[in-house]
Amino acid sequence: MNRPGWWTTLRAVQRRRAAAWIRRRQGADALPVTLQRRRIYILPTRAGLGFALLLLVMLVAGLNYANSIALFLTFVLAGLSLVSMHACHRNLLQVRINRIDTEPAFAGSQALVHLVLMEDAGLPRPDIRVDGDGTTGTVCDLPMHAEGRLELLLATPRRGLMPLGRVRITTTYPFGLFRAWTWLHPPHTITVYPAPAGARPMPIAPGARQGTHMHGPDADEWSGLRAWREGDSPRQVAWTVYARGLPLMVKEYSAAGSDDRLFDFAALDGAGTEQRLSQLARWILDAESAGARYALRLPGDRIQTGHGLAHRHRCLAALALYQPPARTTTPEPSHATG
Amino acid sequence: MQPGDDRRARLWLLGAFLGGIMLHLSQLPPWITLGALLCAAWCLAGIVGRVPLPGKRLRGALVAGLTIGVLAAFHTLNGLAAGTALLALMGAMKLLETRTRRDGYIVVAVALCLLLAACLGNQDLPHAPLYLVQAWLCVTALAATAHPQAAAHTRRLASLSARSLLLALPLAMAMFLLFPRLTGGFWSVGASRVSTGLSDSMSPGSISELGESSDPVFRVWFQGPPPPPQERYWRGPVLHEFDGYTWRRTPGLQYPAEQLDYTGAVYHYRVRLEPDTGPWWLALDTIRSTDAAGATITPDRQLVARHPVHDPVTYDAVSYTFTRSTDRLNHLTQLLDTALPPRRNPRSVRLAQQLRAAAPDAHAFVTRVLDLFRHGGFSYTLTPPLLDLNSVDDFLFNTRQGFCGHFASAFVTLMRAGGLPARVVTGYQGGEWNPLGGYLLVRRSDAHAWAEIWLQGQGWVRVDPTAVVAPERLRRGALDVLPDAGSASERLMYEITWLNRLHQGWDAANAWWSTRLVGYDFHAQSRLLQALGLSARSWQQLGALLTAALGLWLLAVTLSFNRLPRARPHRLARAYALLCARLGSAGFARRPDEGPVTYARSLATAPQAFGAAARQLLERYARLRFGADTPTEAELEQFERDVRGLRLARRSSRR
Amino acid sequence: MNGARAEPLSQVVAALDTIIIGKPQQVRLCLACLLARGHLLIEDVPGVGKTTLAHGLARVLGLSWQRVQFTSDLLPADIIGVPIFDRATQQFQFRQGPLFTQLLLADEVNRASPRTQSALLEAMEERQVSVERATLKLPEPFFVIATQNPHEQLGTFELPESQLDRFLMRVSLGYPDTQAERRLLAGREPRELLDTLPAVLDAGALLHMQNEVRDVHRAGPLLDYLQQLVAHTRARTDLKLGLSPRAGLGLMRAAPAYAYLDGRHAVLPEDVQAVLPAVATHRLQRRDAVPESGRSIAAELLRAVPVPT
Repeated sequence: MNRPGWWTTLRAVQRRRAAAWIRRRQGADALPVTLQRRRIYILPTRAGLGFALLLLVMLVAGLNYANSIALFLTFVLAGLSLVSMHACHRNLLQVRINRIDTEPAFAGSQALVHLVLMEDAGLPRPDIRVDGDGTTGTVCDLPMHAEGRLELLLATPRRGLMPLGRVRITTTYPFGLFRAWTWLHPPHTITVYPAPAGARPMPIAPGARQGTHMHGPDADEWSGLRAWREGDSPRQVAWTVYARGLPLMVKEYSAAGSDDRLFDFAALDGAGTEQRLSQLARWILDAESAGARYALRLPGDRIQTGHGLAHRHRCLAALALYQPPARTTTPEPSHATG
Repeated sequence: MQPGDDRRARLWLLGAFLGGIMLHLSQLPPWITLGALLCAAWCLAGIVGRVPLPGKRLRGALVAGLTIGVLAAFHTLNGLAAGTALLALMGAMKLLETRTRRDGYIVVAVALCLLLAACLGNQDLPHAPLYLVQAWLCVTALAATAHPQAAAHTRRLASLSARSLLLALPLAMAMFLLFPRLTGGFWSVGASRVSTGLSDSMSPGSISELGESSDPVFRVWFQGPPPPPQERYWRGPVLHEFDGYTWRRTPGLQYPAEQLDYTGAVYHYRVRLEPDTGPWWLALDTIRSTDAAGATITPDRQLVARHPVHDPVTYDAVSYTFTRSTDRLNHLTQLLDTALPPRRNPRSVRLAQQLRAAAPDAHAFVTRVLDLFRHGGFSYTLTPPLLDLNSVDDFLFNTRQGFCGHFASAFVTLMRAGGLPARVVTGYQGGEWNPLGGYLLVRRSDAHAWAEIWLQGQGWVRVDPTAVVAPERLRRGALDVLPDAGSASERLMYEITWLNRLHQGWDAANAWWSTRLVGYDFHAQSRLLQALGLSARSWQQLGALLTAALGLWLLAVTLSFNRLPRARPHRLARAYALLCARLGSAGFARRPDEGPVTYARSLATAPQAFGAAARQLLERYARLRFGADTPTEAELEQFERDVRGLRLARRSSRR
Repeated sequence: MNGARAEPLSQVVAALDTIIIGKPQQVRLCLACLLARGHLLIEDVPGVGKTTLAHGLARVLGLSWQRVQFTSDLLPADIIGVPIFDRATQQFQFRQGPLFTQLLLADEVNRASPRTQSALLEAMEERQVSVERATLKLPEPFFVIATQNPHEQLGTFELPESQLDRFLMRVSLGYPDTQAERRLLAGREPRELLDTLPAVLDAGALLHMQNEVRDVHRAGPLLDYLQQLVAHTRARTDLKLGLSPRAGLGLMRAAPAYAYLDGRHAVLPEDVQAVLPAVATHRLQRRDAVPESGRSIAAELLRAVPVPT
């Protein structure tokens, strides 16, 4: 659609004003939010406006021909549109937004926002949608006394804590003639990790066991015993066990272990802060996928060696929230946050 | 809409469109119907069998070709018929490209417009259910288009639209009654249809042609009892001129009026004329006044419309069954109503002159002539033999078989030949009383002709020669008297009582439909508002009424359908709440997170006087509420009584 | 419903109260946990009587029991058992580990490696073990009483949330109050008393009681209350996760057992309130991850949700 520039500007200004007005009117939302009358807005859709035009044509024709049946038809359809308005409004009324969960995302991608809706008023609520400013989310039907889930993708342009902003729950049920909606202003934030980038080789933690060779192919972690089978190497037999009068057992090793790493911000010289953070993020991802254990050191913060999803999140979140110290002051020593 | 996901929605659209076409099946040219059906079949194949739909270029060519086709067939794109045809074709084209939701909405709009066109074309009761079904189909298609995923549950979708329509109905009624109507249209609507009522001429056999049909002509609702059968003369055109074969009324000729005294029984009634009755509106003889806006009462007591009206008409009128006039007849009337064509019906004229000469006065002359009809071997039949140009002579002296027109014509000729001013009155006589609807139904087969003669000192007196020949005609109607009146099935209907009753019921429903719904126009609205005490027809008042109706409707809908179910507190819970409130007033309020046992424990510091009793009550509550056995009515009652009977000693605060 | 408490049960409580002084509520919770066929996690600093309590329970209930001290080099085979090569038959035979007992006391469970932990917890959940393609059923009844030491972080493997969920209750004993401490000091050493404890019940009687607990009535309003409690945890944004359906079911098992201990055949909201801290706190965690916040969450929860009337 080609609209003149002034029109777009006007619409944008108007939208901003409306958003500010709604924000002032409703205030911040503390979940769970139950949708009450005063926060549900309703307007006809494009189809609704078209329907109104059709009704006008029918009315004029009916009046002109003094045709009672045509007029009656017109009035029935007019009544239907009012029913539709009512039903549309009611479709949101008393719906409860129980939870909003945000998933962290990398800068430059999209963050997933989960909404958990609850119908507890004893009325099925078909066709509930979610969207935000400029994005559309998923649709769900809420059965009676049940939960429904909605998802929304939000663009995450920059690293840091991004406020969720406002989220809109809408419905055009039942006839698509009206759209009822409500704005939510949840206090949630999205942790935006720095975008992983950079191709420097992964450093190895100082003091890691290097060169120690254990039995078993590429394995270093002893994981248990199993009964001896034909063909097992005598070097793997647990002789101590055998010595206790027990049968021949074989030591087993898991292939998981790898060397510990330390990712140090300070060690990445020569690059800007954001590039360094991106490189650290890259390493964390790589280490995680390689199954390695790793520690992270940032100016003023240190995260102990570990691995797993929780550890990954802790490290990446630290990168996301990292504030370079102001130029005038010297970097704080690590015990500041320890 | 995702392809595949919306199949059911498209099926509903197809259904709505086909429904619209079906409504116009009898009016549309066959090639258009065929074209629309072909498109529908193609669409169906596309939905079911995944046949590819035509491309853009083919559709464009089709649209152009079809538009030209319509132009060629109707010579215009304007007007209802051409518009409907065009709409049907465009809808069919749109059906072939239902890809987006918007396309779906357009098809629904086309189906609704087809429905509108059908309503404009025909408002009969038998069509009403079709319209209803079509409206439901359209609304369902709309819902399915708006929410294709909801279309998967066919029954739920169908009931959603049906319920919504039902909910809309009361509001539609209110708007229908109160929305301001126009007296005329915004633009004039040309209509060219043939009127099927009485005409302003009568030749032998013309009335019997009417008698062959039993279509309704008008219905009459009386305030009070209806007149007896022999008084039910519905006056139509009064015919003055005779050329020996045909009676006529000269158009535009102003007939002079006489001064009348209205006596006899008075009847207030409302007439509802079927459409296309022609300019001759009917009224019970003799009409005194009417509120019919488009018609006037002529000097010879007819009700004549100023302009031809093709729509159904309703009017109120007041009539008296008897009039007299002591005036002298004015000269012009005397001249007109004694004139006979020269050299026509010579034998009849001679006979009349003989009879008049033999009679001592006018009364005796009339009696003699009626005696002639009574004893002259005349018979009453719907299929009389054809007459020659001297129709009265031929009838009186040869055939002697005739319908009412023959007798009236012959009688008036004889009267005029005898020097008495006389005229033929056509109209209807009788009517069938419908006890279900409380109205009198007059059919075309009730068409009748009679005579009026001027007697000095009495004025115009109605004489019905047919009544002399076939007296039962007045009491029982033509269908009963004449074996060949009406079609075979109508006669059957007439003879079998329960079938007749059924027929009457259907007619009553039709009458209600056409008067109350179809006939609800500007005048009916005015009458209704007057009855409501709203004398001034102001838009403000209507607006206020409409707003009030809307408010009431919204309230009703909100109350009945918006009530989100909320559990009523259990009886035991009420008693417990009372107990807690009473203990609270004594300074021992229950915290919301305290259960009955914890609460009872917190009463340890309460005075002995009621502490023990209260604790015992709380334990009982815990047992009744959370125990395995459902509390009996007696236990509940006892508990309630004990809660009310608990004696409290006041204390400032608990903790 | 205030029918007399099953006589042997009050004897059990009385006997346990003599060795665990000043902790009647914890003793009841432990008993309720066992009556509800749940596994018990006792978490506390060393020396407050965790092991004594576990021993006492096993003795008084008259169950066969085994104690395993979990260490970092403990292998799954050490608790499940090992197949032994029998030279006579030239076949492996399975030698049952300490797991095959009615009451397993797993001391300092968080010292074992995750592999061993998960082997134990799997057995707890399934009440059977799979060895070499064969499935071996564990005895009936089967309980695990695990103890762990919260403050000792070095060399421990924290139980993951999903495995904590397998324990019906987590109970902390805490230091005794001054009066109880005095009585403790004045009396005989509890460990010596252990040997004098009579076996009040046996496995059969316990199974019977467990079946009776199942029949304790849960009224509709009580289920409402439970649902509201669970829903409240899910609605709160300051918690990492709400209570799982398994946790809800756990509450629904523990509360009747607690009522049964009290000699009642119907559950009251108070029973739910009594077991909630033990059942729910190890499954709830604040987002800001203040470690000791569990107990106060339970209190907040109980305060926030009104009791149905």
